[in-house]
Amino acid sequence: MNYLRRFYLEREIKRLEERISASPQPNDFIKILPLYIELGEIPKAEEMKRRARQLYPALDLSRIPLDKPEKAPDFDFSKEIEDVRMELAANPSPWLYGRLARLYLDSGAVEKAEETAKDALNLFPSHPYPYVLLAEIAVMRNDRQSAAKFFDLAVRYDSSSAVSIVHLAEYYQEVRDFDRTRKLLEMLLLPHRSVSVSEPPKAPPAPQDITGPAARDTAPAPPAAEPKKLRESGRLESALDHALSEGGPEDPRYVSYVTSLKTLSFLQGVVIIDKEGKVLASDLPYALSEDDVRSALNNLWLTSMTQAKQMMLGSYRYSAFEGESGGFFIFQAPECVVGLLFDKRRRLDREQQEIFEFCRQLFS
Amino acid sequence: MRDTLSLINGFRGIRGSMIMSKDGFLIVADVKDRTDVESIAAYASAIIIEINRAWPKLNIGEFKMFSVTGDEGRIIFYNTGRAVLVVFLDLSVKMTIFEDELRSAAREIERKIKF
Repeated sequence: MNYLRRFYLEREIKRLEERISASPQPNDFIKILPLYIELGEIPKAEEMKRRARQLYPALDLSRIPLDKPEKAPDFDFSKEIEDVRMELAANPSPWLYGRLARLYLDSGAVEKAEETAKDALNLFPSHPYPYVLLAEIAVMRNDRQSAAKFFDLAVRYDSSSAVSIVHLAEYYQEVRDFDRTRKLLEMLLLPHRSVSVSEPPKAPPAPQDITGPAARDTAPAPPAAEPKKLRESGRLESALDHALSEGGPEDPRYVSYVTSLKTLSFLQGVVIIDKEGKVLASDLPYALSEDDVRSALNNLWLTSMTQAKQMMLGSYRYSAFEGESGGFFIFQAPECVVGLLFDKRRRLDREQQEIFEFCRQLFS
Repeated sequence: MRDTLSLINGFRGIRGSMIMSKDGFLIVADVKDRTDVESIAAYASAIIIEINRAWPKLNIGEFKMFSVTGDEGRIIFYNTGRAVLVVFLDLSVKMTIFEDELRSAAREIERKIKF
């Protein structure tokens, strides 16, 4: 078993153990047993089985084998593949495609596994699992660049996919893109984040807008880093050390503005620059490069400001740009320029005045 | 297309509207005052050029709308495929009131320009 698979299993086991300890549910027992078994923790699996039987005598755990059935010497791959294909024809799901692809992989049919993953992708283009499958196949072929591309897409569709995040972080560390490496590692450290790839997490409730100066007092503090968790892997620690050594400290005043701006609903990222285009503070999704957003903000602001005067609009106040999958809002404060990236749920055409009022009061 | 512009201009707080090509040429305009619509089309094309440069960096898909607001007014630009619908507004106008109508006008212009 490779290090990444072990890392994923250990984290998932830890998460399920915590849930079982807080409130034991039958499904959690069913989920954790195969993980113990895959990790070779047979005594722990037996102990968990015993506990499950005590709490839920009617729970049927007999179908959970002590090893993956594919590992048995007499395992009939052809029959299992045919069964899964029939099930898929009746009830297609990304997970069943995944099961079929893995069966092909275990039986050495890598090409068929790839075809299956691509079929899944055609049917479920917004689901992360087909991308994870294609990425894992690329890893098997030692095609790191394709693997990074697919893991990147998997993370876009499921930002809690630990396996994808770790693979991507390793890739970006190797290509010395420490900004992206740091952002990915921070994603792993976010509190309350599920690390399961087998169960998509529920989206957290969107924060309500807080307007006025109260926003500064009520804005939540940024999530604190948990250094202990980093030590789960020497490589992660080393990547983070590299990442943190890049760049200088941000001005606390602007960091607090960023924290307040993050209370806006559907906000994806913030960058604040001075009027010479230098970044004062930012908080952007890992997929975006700070320098790219900085230059886009600087150029769009300069052009909008210049053209506003030419178009007889008086002194420039703000611009709002709406795209198919998100929006960008530019606000000119007395000492800085603010760029806000929203996801497409935020209607900038209708709500630009509210956002402007929020920014105006925050920076006044 | 003039009918569509007249319909838009019927809303209170709208100073006028026009349709321009994406490279900055005026197609048709209906404005109430002496706004220099040809120059505005040229200035707006500078922003469209900048949007096209910036957009891939922001990863938010093709642009649908943008607006520029100053302390004396606001101009909104709707992407209508091969052209751009431009609407001039007073600052006092609440966008929530007729935003749907403006979008639907933009779609209508897109249809008309396609055929």
